Amino acid sequence: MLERLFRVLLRLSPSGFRDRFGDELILTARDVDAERPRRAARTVRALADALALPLSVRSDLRASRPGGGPVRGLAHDVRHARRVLAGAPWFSCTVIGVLALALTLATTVFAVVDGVLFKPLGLPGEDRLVSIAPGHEGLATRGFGETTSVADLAHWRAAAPEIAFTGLSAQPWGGYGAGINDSAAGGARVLSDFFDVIGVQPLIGGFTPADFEEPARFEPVVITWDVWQRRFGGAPAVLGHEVVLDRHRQAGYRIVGVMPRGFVVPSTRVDVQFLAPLVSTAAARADLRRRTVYEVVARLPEGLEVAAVETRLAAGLSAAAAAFPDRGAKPAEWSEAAWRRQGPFDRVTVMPLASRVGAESRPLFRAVFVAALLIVAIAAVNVSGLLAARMLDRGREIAIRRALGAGPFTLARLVGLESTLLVGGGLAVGLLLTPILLAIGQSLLPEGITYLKPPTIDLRVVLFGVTSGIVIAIAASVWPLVRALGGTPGGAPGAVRASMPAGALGRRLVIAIQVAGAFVLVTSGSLLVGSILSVYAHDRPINTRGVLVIESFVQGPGATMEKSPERAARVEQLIERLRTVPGAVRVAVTSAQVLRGGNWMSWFTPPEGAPTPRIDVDRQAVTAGYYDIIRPELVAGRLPTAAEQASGAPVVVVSESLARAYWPGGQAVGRTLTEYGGQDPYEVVGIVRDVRWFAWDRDVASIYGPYARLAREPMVSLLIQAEREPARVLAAALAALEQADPLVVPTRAVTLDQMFVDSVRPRRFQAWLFGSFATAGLVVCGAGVFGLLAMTAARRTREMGIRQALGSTPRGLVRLLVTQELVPVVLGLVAGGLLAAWTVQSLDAFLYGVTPGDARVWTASAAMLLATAGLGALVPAVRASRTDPVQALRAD
Amino acid sequence: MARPAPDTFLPLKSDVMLVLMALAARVLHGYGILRDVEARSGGRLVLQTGALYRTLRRLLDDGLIEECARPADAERDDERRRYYRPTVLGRAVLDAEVQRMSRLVRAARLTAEGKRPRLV
Repeated sequence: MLERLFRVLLRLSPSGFRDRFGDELILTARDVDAERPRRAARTVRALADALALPLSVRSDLRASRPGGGPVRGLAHDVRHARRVLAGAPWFSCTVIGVLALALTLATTVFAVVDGVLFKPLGLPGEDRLVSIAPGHEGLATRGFGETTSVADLAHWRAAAPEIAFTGLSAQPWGGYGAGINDSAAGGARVLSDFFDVIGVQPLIGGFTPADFEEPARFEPVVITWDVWQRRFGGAPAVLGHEVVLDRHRQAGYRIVGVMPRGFVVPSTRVDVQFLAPLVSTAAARADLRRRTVYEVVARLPEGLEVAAVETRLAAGLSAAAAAFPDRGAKPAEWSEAAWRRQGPFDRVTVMPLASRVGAESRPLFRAVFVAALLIVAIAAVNVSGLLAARMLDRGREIAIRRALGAGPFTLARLVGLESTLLVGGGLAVGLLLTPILLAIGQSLLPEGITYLKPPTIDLRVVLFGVTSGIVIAIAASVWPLVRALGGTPGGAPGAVRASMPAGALGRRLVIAIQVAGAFVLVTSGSLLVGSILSVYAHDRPINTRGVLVIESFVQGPGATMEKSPERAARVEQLIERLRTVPGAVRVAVTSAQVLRGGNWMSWFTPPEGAPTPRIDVDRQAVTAGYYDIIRPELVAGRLPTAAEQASGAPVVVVSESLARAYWPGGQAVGRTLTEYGGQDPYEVVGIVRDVRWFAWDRDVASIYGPYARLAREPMVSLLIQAEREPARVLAAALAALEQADPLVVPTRAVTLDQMFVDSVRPRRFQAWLFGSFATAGLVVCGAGVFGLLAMTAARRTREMGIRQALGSTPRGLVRLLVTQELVPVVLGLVAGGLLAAWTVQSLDAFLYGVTPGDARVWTASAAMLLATAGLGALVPAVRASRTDPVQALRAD
Repeated sequence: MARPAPDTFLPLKSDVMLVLMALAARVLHGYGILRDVEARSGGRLVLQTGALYRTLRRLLDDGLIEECARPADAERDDERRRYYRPTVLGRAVLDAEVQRMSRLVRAARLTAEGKRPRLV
């Protein structure tokens, strides 16, 4: 090891030394390596010795030399800088705090956006990989784009045999969840040549050709490295491991391979953790109408440019169109666009895969990253201002140093060291806080966002933080250095300045610009935080206190999308069993997966003449006891009686908005509804207030009916009213469920309150993110105003002295300084207001309960900024007003 | 050019002293010096490779040691090895350092006996 290290380090050493001693030194290092026993302390000494080689190849013969060398001088300066900073704890803490805040935010944001914005996919020759999306001329692309058939790909291959095509179908809900509350495991089914085309093979195992021919009871699955480590502890015996998902059929998936570490499935739609074969029969593979491939990836040969691919595929598209089965005439009820979309493709769009993957997240991530950089930039300017202000405070010390012969280099080193120590402190605190902020952020991150790399603190993130710190240290040194080198030997201005000293214009411009930037951040943050608060403040006219929800999938008898007496009977037995759980006061079931976006169709035919027959309806088939747990707020009529509930009588309860949509004028109670395709009437017995069963921020109409008569889904949500200790009751209920009916598999178990909160997760994330930016903007801006005004005040020490000597009171001086400094703040607010008015328009789609022009938000934002800037201005102003006039006049 | 006085090199750094002492006994190459120091100190004194060559360069530059031919008993050594021996100046410097240290030791002894001898 030592020999290799010396070989490298010798290259960095002066050529004279290398030519003279290089060969022999390597021989000696080899001998030392071979013969000396390796001990930790000895190795450390040897490494230090080797690393010192390129730094110095000259050695002193004398044991000591008066005065010491440059390193000793540097160490002395570092000690001096440390003492200086320790002597001004508030100043040091402010600077370190501002830097830590900005760097924590920027580093955390980088950890999240790195995968999508910066890190290459890591696939071999990825510049030759493209994403191909078929479409129809003149028709806009919908959602993620059109789905392709395996037969289409065959035609494309025939037209362009030099291009290697493959495909995958990725879904966010791959069904590979590892149990309760862990269902978000994206999966992709891939074609057999997938690994060959993308150029990465599984690290261990893999699919066999037979896996793509026949569906298996245990689907073969290749997992990512992360899943292997997280769920299976990196166990080598993972191959062959079977996971049962359907206990009744004894079916699930079997792990047949593991992808290499860091591998990212190049899906443009979702984060994929599981890969399975896209199985298709020979007949299906020849059918152009069987569109099962969501995304097409191709590897281009050298020399074929992306722009030329569309031309190369033209013949393939024509051949596929010619072979497309005859569809006859367009049915009258079909729109032209829908009919064409069902037909053959007539165009393709080709994009480099690297830019396509993660494209959904990229705009948001880019905006967030720019905002973070903006805060870092403002922080750098402000820290520079704070340091410059301090340099002016230390004018006398600087003057003495210069008088004693300190040159520009010495002063620059002094300033640079102080900046570096402060930035180093800020960086250290920032890096310590980043994992905490990231952990909070991760708990709030919405599902369904593509990251391409797990948000974590890795070497790239640390390097980003350190680089940002170095850039800030350099940027922050400029201003104070100019001050230190440019000041007169007296340290203070040589003459009494007018009320607008030279250079003040620049400082005020900086204040105005950063106030404007902060105002944009604060307004945006306030609107989004206001939105989530408005959601939380929205009334839920039901009982959620102590209500637990266990979402379960019913397997075995009755596991159909039809009405099922068998399932209804099993559900009744389950309820009976769960009632015996200690602490469970009431138990009921609804067929709805509440707060999951819901179902959009009623079971019933809208009544004749309904003014709004097509509205979104949350339908809930509920068992006896449901109304006692949920306790919906009755508006008219009554709730079903206990006897009606027990017998499953054909009565329904509707919510206000459904009543209004079907029977305006309050005439709903007593009316009847008829099921689609049925004859039996269901009487509306009551009207209750609307409950946001889709999501806490989305209005929806509801209809509640008897479970045994209406439920069609093999999913149930068990509702349990817990008397006390919900967590314990939930655990006991899950155990009882497992014991009573193992074929009812729970997928989610939380409190109803938590479900409401989780239903607005993306909104909460936005509020958290932009709220953080707003807070950081406020703090950084306040510190900046403080620093800049402190600098102004220091420069005007003599003027303050004269004003006091001429009779100005301290209060008058404070008023003068604060008023003058608030002018750029107000100008910044005006400029920022104009900018923010334009920016917040883009937030309109994300707002709830507030509008982009909400006067409360704007007033509060402006007031917060004014107060922060005012506070920043007040402290140095008060300090300046307390200056002793005699001392001030002697400042020269 | 006049030869510098041996005293101008004093006091010697311990590494320099050890190298000169090793070479005063016999002609050695770099690794030989390391082994000699280590062997004669029972492993308690260990020279680092990089530091050794920095010292050798300085000693060569200052004319305290010089390169010399391969000794007869080292014919099987690697051809890339270089061999060093002290120059007249080098021996004089070593001698002066030994005398300085002897005076220092003697002074220390006298001090321990309660006397106040001159230190240099």
